[in-house]
Amino acid sequence: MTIEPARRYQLADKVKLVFDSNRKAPMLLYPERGLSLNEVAAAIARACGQPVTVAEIARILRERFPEASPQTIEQDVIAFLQELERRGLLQSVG
Amino acid sequence: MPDLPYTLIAELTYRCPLRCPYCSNPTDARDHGPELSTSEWQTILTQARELGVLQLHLTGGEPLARKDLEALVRHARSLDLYVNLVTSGVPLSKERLAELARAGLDNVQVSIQSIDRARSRAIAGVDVFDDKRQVLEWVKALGLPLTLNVVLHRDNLDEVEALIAYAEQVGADRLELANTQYLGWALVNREALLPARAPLIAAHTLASKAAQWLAGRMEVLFVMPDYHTRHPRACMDGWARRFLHIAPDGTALPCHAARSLPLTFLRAPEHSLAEIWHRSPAFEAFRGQAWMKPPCRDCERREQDFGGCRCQAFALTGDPAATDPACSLSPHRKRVTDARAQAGEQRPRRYLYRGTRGPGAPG
Repeated sequence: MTIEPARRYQLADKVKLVFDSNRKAPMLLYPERGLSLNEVAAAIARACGQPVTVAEIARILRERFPEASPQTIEQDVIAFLQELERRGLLQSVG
Repeated sequence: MPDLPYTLIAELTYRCPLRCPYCSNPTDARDHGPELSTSEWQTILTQARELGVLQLHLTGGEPLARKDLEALVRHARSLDLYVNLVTSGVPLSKERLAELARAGLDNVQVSIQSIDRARSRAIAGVDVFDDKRQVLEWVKALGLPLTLNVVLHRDNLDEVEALIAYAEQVGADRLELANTQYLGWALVNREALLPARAPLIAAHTLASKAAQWLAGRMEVLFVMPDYHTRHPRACMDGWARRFLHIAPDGTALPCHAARSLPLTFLRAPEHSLAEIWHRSPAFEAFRGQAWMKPPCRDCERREQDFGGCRCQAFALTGDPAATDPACSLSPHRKRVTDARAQAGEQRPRRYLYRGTRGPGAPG
């Protein structure tokens, strides 16, 4: 499975992003399980609340984390989307 | 300081129209106290969220038997819990399911017994095959994520390939092929349910392959019966570590079967979940490693499987702190291997259905 630059992606319907005040971390919830997210992953997940491309997510992250290199940001976005896809948490919407 | 509970299993009722011979409800379910009220459950849900719970399973019995299910789902949604309805799908109308979806369900888990009508009836004890099929269609039509759950045993293990195809056909997001755990009703019916090794391995192989080719589309989970493994299962991820279970009468347990143990469990909401989780002796009983006996005490796997299942240890040895006999190192291993040796034998077997008189009751 590869993440393609031309495609738009969105979190799968079964996924829910919440902030866990006990563990002080954003969490991605899905049947039976959850992923505790760091700040960058949470920003990517939030962007995927609607259909977006890798470039659009990267642009949002560049504004949020101006000190990070654009190349690192794009790599982080692709790596995280691949992790989501591997778990069936991401849908491709054309 | 114990870990925070992550999942609340809210067993809303022991009532159920089905009579499956492996039901996880206690065999003496009728003897327990009255069901909690709507507001008592709402208090419990609120306290659970404050305590750290993020996942909620609404289960039973059949949770649809509760008329206030919609209100409970709405309350859970307002707390930002991930709400999973665990149901047989009976009895349900499309209108009610739509109302539950609006109330905030995040996932629906429907169990089926078999892809064959006659077998389904023989296992469930009632004819609900068509009702379930209908419910599966409604779940997808309403755009709800669907988990299809099948409890496996010797009378449906040969269906694994067909069940995977069926799950794809109905558009399941997740397929749970979970072998029976031999506690409660399932222990009573063990001789009729426990499969032999060869068909089990064949089924496991099929499911593992399917899990690979379906990755990203449908999650396929296959749970081995611990009677056929070398190591015990890490029951509940360890005693009172991740799961909090509330029985219909409010009794708070580390797992659904724990009320079979010789421990005193407190009731919610008359006792707060924080008190129960952090300070009650029953929840402390098997946390950590101090309670362990040999061979668990010195075992290198003790932090992986936590000595196995306490309820199974008690059911098979009479000692809740014993090593689970599902472990190949258990001094009581013979209890498991003897049952396993008989599992291959062909002989007439009948189920004792759930809901018939409890197995220990006279007359």
